[in-house]
Amino acid sequence: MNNEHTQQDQTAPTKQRAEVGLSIEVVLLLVVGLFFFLLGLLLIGIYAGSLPYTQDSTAGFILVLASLYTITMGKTPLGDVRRSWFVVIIGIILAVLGTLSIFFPGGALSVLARILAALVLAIGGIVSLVQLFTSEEGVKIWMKVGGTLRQLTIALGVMFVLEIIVGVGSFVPVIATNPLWALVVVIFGASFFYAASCVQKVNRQYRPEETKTPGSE
Amino acid sequence: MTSENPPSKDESLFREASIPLASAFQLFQGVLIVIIGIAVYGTVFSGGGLSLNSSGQGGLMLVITSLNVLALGSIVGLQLRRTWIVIIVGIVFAALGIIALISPIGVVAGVNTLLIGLSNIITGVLFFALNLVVPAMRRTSSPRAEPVAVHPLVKRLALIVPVVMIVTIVFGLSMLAPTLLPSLLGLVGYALLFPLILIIMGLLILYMAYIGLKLQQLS
Repeated sequence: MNNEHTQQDQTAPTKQRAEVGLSIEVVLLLVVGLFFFLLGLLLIGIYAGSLPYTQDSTAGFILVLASLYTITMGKTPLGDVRRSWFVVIIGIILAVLGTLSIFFPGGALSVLARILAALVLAIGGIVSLVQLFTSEEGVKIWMKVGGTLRQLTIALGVMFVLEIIVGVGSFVPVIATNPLWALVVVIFGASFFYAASCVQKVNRQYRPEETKTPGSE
Repeated sequence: MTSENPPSKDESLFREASIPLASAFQLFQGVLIVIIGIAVYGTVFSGGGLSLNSSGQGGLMLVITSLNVLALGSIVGLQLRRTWIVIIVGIVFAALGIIALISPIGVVAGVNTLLIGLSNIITGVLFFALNLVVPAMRRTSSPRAEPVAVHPLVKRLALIVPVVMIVTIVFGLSMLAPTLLPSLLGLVGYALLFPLILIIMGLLILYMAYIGLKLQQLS
């Protein structure tokens, strides 16, 4: 019994110091999830009138996140594409538009940023869902294999459906100002955390090279 | 037929952009800092017509810092092993940045300004301490090593990085003490010079990203 305790005491600090090994995909899922989770929580206070809200900065940040996905992974709202310089330039344009909307809320670009942010979510969700169900190594094989791949399929499916709902809902002011909307956004954020944990498990099991820190050997 | 032809060098916009993650972040940061510089000019020359959302600006910069921590283990210029503690620091940075972006709460914006100011100053000071002071101390205690041939791009990088670090320290100081630079340069000098410094810093970071890409292609 005492030995068990000493072993646990020794392994705990080692675990804390061990490399966690998150891929860029997992990092972006965590940050996007954190954004929507906190947005949902803050919306409760915003709807109650106790917190200020910069909606244009929020829309601008969604564009910045989309540009990060595009520049680092070649994942665009129109699906996964080869990361060419053309795609990178589109990502930079999205970043510039998003950043200007964050810096100057209420400016001329804000309406465009809001529409684009809602489109990025709605179209991105639809395209990703279609790709998940039609790709060769998508639902059909993953569900058959089972285990972590089945969990990943469910996690991504839920996340993409919620993405469509949040994207479409953003266009409808009656929905987007309803207190229940805050709960939907919190659940949407939480779905990213679940997807991140599934991708991390799959990486550890099938793609260990993805868990190494970029640039480290 | 294709195998007999020499591989053509595709220079089109549609060629694969094999950008390492660190360079992709640098590209993003460089563009962001240039925009901040232009935005500050915008607020100066609009005569109050445009007001900069400083809470959002700080929030975005903190989120970019957090991405560097989470994806690369890079914080204050140091490359750390991504342990749970490092990941938690990255997530706290991201959360503070995101809150400031969504809701301009005074306390959070103040904490963010402090964090960005401190991290910039520490990054610059640590760089000079580790690259100038420590090697100088080692040189006095051990004989001079044989000179090694260095690639011209690496030499250029060695010239640019210290300039970027000086600007980083100045930027950090201006975040922590917003009245320091205006009192030193005068209000007009500050309004003209500070955004210019930011634009130059952003362009130098973009140039560093370019050199990083070239070096990757060479290796």
